[in-house]
Amino acid sequence: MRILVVEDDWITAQMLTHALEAFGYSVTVAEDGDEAYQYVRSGEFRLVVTDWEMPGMSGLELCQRIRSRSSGGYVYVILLTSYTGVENVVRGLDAGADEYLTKPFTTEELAMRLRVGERILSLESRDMTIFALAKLAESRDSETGEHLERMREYCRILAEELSTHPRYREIVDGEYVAQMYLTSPLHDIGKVGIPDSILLKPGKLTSKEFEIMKEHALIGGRTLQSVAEQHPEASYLRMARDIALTHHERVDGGGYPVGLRGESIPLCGRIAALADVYDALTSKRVYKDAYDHAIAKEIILSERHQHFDSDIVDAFISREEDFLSVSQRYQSEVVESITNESLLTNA
Amino acid sequence: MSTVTSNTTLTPLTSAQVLDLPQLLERCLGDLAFAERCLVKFQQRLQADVEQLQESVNAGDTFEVARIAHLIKGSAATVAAMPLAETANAVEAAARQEVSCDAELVTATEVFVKEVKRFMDVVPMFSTIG
Ligand SMILES: [Fe+2]
Ligand SMILES: [Fe+2]
Repeated sequence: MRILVVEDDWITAQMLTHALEAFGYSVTVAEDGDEAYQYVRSGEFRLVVTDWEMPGMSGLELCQRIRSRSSGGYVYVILLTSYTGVENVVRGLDAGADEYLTKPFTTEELAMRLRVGERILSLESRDMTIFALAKLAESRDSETGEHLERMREYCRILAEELSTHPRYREIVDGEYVAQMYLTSPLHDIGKVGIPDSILLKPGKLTSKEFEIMKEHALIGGRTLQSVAEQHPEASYLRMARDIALTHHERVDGGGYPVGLRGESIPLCGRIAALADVYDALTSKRVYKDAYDHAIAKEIILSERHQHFDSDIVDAFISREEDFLSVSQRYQSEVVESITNESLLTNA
Repeated sequence: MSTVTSNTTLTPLTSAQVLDLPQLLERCLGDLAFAERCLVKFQQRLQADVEQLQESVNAGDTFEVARIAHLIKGSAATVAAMPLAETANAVEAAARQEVSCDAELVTATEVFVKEVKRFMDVVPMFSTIG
């Protein structure tokens, strides 16, 4: 992994380089903040160790500039400083530093800070990989637009709301909410196993075709199950499996692939079911216009105890404003990109 | 009065170890040859920096004094020359005082230069170990 060391003092830069190379990093040294910022802009560095006090742009300003960039992946910044005390720690954090290393550094502390940084960066790339995979699977199905983006927002809103409910407080914590957001885009990953002739068919499916279409839940569930077995420590994979397998189950037992009832459907599957249906209702499809929120709400309410878990319907009702704003936000983004495109063609 | 205080806090340092060898070796991951190269390089720079520092003290350029002392403090701490780092810190602090006190700066510089000399005497001894 590449690492950028920003240090105006030659000896400290040398010693950091020596230690970091021994740890297996490939090191680039910048002598001041401006030079460092140019390196960061190249996009090749995701780990930065920077001195605080330097001539020209200080380490603190460098942090601020790195954070104000909107492009690229997250850059993990460790601030090297001889400043101690709460006030300085707060200043550094405000500027966007992730960690501190006190000067003169010890290699033990350096190694520890880097381990944390690498872990955080690997989580970020994991999250992006999962979403990219989901997008790839969805890309064959061209009409769904920003379905996955909205879907994970709806799932997060519902899970957040349930976490305030005494019955769910024990199960739905911050971690659960985050995992719901992370894994819900994978719900239709099994569609990669459905032939084009059915997946992309413009008209209504015959009942035989619909039976094949339904298999996407089993295919996705099985695929994620085998990955989850190989990585038993990764609980999010089990949630991903449950969502893929059960997002078309109904609490009245009329869903597929198994026909599970009520609470035998995993909670995450029950949450994903409502989020998925709400988005299908409020989005335009080849065979239908987008329903507005009021109609979608009416349909969901009428399916309480049938398709949907009543607690989740209640959560939806308490947070309907948030649902509406998510659906509007993504709609306005679509409109905006269309407008931009037409501006370009006019020019 | 403050001159006296800073003097008394600095006195015990002169008897302290010039170099904290275990600390330096930790920072070099036990690589003695590398530690030696760093010390030699540091020593070469120190010589030039001290001359510049003394000139700036004589010229009354406290801004420049503070800048040089700060740099020396940082690299001295990195090579684990703790008394050197602390005496350099005292010079920096004296140079940064809002109301400049020449006597204090001069005294701090004297203490610092004495420490530099002690350091210069010890480093070649260390080099022969490696
Ligand atoms: Fe589905
Ligand atoms: Fe879906």
